[in-house]
Amino acid sequence: MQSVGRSKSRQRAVAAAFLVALLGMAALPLHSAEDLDPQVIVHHGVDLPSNFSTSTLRAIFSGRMQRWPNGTRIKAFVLPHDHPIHQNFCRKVLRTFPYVLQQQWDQQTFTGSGIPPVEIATTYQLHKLVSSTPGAIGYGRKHNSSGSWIQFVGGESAQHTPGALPF
Amino acid sequence: MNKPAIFILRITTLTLLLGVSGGHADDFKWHGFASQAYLYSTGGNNVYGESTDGSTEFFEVGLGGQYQLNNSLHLAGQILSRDAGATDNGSIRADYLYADLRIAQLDESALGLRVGRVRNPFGFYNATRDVLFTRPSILLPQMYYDATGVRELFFSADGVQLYGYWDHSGGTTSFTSTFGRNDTLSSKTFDNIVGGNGAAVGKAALKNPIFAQLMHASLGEQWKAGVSILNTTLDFRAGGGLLPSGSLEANVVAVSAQRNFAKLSVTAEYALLTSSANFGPFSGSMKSESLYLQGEFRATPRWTALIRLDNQLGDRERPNETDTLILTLGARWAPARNWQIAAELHGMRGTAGIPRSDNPVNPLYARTELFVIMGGFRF
Repeated sequence: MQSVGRSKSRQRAVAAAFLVALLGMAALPLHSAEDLDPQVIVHHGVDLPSNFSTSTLRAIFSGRMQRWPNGTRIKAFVLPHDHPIHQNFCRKVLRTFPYVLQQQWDQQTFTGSGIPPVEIATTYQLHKLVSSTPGAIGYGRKHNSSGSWIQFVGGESAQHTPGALPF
Repeated sequence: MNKPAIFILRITTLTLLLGVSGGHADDFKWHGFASQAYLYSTGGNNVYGESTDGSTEFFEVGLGGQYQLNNSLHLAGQILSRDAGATDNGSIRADYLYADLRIAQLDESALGLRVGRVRNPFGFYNATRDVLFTRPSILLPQMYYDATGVRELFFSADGVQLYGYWDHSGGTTSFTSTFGRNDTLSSKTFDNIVGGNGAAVGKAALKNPIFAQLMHASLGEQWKAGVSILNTTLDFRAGGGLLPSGSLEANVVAVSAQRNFAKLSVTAEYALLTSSANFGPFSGSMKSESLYLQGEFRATPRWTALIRLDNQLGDRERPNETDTLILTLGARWAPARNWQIAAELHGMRGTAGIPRSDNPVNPLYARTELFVIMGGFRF
């Protein structure tokens, strides 16, 4: 009888701990995929075209545009296909579907007509690479809802962001 | 392998080696793919090997690379080995090898010139037709002529290719036009083109093939549509077979349209092949039509379902004798970015989708049910 009572109280303790854990998880500031707004990040040395727009971004990430106006090679970095920020970047910024972009990259790869963006596993690594690679462009998570859609990273001008870009 | 192919293969290897040793890692990119199928058919007809008993005679392996020499010049090449029953033999060939010169690059447009062996865009799928990952299905619709030797006229041409694109408020408009030089064809290839029954023995040449494609895509490619054309003449000098010397002029026009939604793509393509044969007693002209309607449903990023209805009239003047209707149901699973497994059921009524060279003795049967499963890897 004693052992049964002990086992019941253990079950109750486990159930209580489970409930506390669940409540704790619910209280955490979890983000849904919708909350993960993307922000375009560009290496600080890049001289953006004067008419830089969503259309330019589309040409860059689909691989059609390969050089910045001053002739520097564009090096585009992207997150994995199923990453929520990549999905939102395709839908909200490029106004396309992730699978359409993937098809364009496959077409370039297998016809030899262009080198698609390089896939990077995490936003941290991607940010680090864009900061340190001349001509680089990528995206990350937008931290501040009132901020600009675009941010220059790396170097001293990291804080500089252009005022109004026609997105 | 013939001499030009060996020469191009050597150049490819040399270029790729130079690229690897001399370039920065991010200016050079390798790619490769490999896929293997199993086919099983009922009804008596074979598709790619003896599929009535179960066949594995269908694989595709490719290895290629591209190297950005400087801002305006880049090199690209790919070697390919493909086996498809009696219609292809697995020999290694230089699929493409070209130098690409970007003549002009503006913020919203570009113009370029490719010289060498270039890939021909035709319809939505021809430029990458041998890569499982870029096809909607394991077997392409009939307008791509996979079952006959005509496919060999499509993949690439030795010549010059002019291309360009223009981004504007309505989307992106692009064009490609290829002017191919004369090329020799093997007797077997030519025989496949004219029916695959061994009647053509001799020397064949491809005269000045011209390919052109104009494509327009809306912003973000919610829809795209285009027109493609191919025009060429085949000269044949008989050397002992039933078919006398002569020529075959072929002209193909295709119209393509696709609508993309978040999970669904609807595609339709129509092709009209006009051929004019001049082989003494076997002369005459013919018009052949192909039309398909296809739906791809991406249930999740890893699972895709496919349904397609594909009709071909081999000869518009004899619709009842040359009509082929194929219903395809397919599923595709991508467990990882580099791996895919696709499975399909094809219900065929008619014989245009049946390779004649896989069925040399038997008369073709009118009905075929075909099951195909294919696994593929890419990098």
